[in-house]
Amino acid sequence: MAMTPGDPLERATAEMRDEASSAAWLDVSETVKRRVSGIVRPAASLVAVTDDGSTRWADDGSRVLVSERVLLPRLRRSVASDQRAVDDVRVRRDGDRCVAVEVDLVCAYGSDLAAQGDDVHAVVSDELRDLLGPDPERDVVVRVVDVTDRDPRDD
Amino acid sequence: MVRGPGPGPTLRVFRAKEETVSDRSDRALARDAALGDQEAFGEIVDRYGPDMFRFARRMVGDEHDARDVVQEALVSAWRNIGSFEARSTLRTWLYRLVNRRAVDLQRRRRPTPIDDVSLQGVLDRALDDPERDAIDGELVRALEAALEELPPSQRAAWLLREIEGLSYDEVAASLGVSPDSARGHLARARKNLAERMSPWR
Repeated sequence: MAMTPGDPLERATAEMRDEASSAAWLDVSETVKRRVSGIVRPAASLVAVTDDGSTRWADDGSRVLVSERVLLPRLRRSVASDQRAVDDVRVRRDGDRCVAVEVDLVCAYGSDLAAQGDDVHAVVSDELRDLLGPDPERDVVVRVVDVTDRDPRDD
Repeated sequence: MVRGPGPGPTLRVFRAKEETVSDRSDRALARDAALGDQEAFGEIVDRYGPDMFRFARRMVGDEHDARDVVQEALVSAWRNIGSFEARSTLRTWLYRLVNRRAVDLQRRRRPTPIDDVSLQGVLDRALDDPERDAIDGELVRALEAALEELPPSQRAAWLLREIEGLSYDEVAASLGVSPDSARGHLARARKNLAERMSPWR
């Protein structure tokens, strides 16, 4: 049933639509952001290796674990530039050992995609070495999944 | 293009500019939030939260309950944004989270029907008052009362279409129903509301 001009439903609807945002929203917004900052999302941990490839960091057999919660944001920040952004990152593991990282990229239209792939491969490899130690078996796979004519970080 | 392991140029890339979130696409914000970027999620909250709150308030008819509904919806969004897929828009995905919680809340509530006598009182006062603004205010209250009497699916469909300005397909996505079903809810809501508001003619 369509509304007609002067229809009371139409007038009330227009009034309701024009209502200003509730001041209470500001409180809600602050509460949500505070709660989110305190929420720890579930994330797997990856074992770090020493320079000689061992997962034992001391004689007592102690190990160093790095959460994906630390790794993934760091990769996102390290890879992002005005020519590319991370679309997705997947970690493949064998037990708690990282055996591969797959990075999906969005790149700037017209950029040299092969060069972007090489750069990101190097950046990600460096970050993994930094956080998880050297592992010659660890694989890094980079895919360009989309291109955009905007700044890839914003699109 | 797939790049496997192997030697390649070691090139650290530094940002050419400070990252800002104000004009970033929903996709970029969702993507970064999924990778743990709370600032990006904060931008999502600022961008869609006011509309979610307005929708929740009209759905549950109470500001206090609307706060709870929106908070829970947004916290759930933060926990699950990694599962958000571009099949729906971020906006409809968020409305869907709100709608689900609003409906759950109403199921738990005792029904509070609005009787005709109280609605007639509003009508009488409005007709006695020559000020148009005052009448419009009364009209809104009458509409709120009429909305409360609708089944949640009709109320949600009408609010999303008429107040939030969503397309039919977006309404359907927000409600998790087919477009035909969304159109059915909307048609019945319009008919019921028009009947309820007809004494104001």
